[in-house]
Amino acid sequence: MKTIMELLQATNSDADFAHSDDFISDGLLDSMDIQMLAVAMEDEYGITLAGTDLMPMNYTSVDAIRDLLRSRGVEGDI
Amino acid sequence: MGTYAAIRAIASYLPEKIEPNDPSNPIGKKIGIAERHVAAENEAASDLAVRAAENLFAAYGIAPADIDFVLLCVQHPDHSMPSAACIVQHRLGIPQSAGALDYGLGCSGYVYGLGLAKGLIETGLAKNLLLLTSSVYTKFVSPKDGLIRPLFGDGATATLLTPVEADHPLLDAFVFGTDGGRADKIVVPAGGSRQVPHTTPLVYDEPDARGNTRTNYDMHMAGKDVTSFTMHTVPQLTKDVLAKASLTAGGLDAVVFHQANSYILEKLRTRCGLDDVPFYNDIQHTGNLVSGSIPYALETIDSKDGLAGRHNVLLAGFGVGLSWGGCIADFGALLPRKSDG
Repeated sequence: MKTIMELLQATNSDADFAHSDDFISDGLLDSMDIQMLAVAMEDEYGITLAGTDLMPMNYTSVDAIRDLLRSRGVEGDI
Repeated sequence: MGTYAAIRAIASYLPEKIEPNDPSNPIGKKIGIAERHVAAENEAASDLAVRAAENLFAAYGIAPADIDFVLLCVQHPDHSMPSAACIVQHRLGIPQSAGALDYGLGCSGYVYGLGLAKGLIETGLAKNLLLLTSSVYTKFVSPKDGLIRPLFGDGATATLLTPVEADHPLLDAFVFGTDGGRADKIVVPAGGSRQVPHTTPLVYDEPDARGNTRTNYDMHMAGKDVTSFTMHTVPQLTKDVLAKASLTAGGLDAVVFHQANSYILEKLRTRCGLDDVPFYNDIQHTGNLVSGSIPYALETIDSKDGLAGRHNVLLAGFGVGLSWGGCIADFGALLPRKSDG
């Protein structure tokens, strides 16, 4: 199972996610990236993301994304 | 040898009015669209289609009297009745003995049109077929919708198809697909027979955090779901077309996907394993032309680098419906433009 960081890098390979405190305000993820990342996470973790799941506040950091995934029942090392 | 349908000529028309995208919006750069042509208030779908056909006739020395069938791909015809193709037939001076019909598809429409044209020509039902696309989507996208509005431009294309003698089909390996279960993912809810215009009031959606809103008469698009559809369907479509044609990606002379936006196209290129194949990706000055995006791209390639030497070109359209289609096109029978001498 790929990690969140691996999916982030696949979404935007030019971005330095490791040194960002806020992916949204730092401009590393925009609305199109979020859609692409959500599709990748749906494929990887077998979940469905919709509605408020796609709000930018859920994608500000790896921890925020992990919280979102945990709330959708994703377990294990992500 | 056999008699096969072939693309002989392609031309286009873009409305004069240009709507620039906001340069301060980083999404604009990401989708690769700086500006879009927009139909004027008094320009309807048939007006654009007629101009594209006139450009085709002029560029290739084609007489309207020789056309015996008109197919017009259009989602927003001039009227709910009659077919815009009938209006186009009359305005172009195409004989009354010609068949003419509209068909309503979006971004998959050109490939479907090629398939229909192939069927009509190779069964002897048509000889000189005019395949038109005309898109006036901007009339159905809210000006207050900063998410969808920057994507779409208006325009029309015209393609001439005729029978040619050849040792192989020049339009081949068609693959079609449909998922009406996701019809609501790209939709204009009101204005058709489900919510008729004279009894359905205009209602605005609740604005999002950035103030984007749209009415029930405007286009709605579920962005993530459409991205998911695209990223899953197009790679499989590509694989299926290649298998049907007994080709590998390395055997392709070019790939022209529906020009949705640059971001999606780059992602698709990699996901489809097409990084080493000539891959068209340029809608900087047009935006997404819907069913016209593939023929417009083909015309552009032809004018810059020539198409006639390309025998295995993969075409794939995908979008509203949801609907998709792909094929392999051989441009060996393309006519020279009059200006080419």
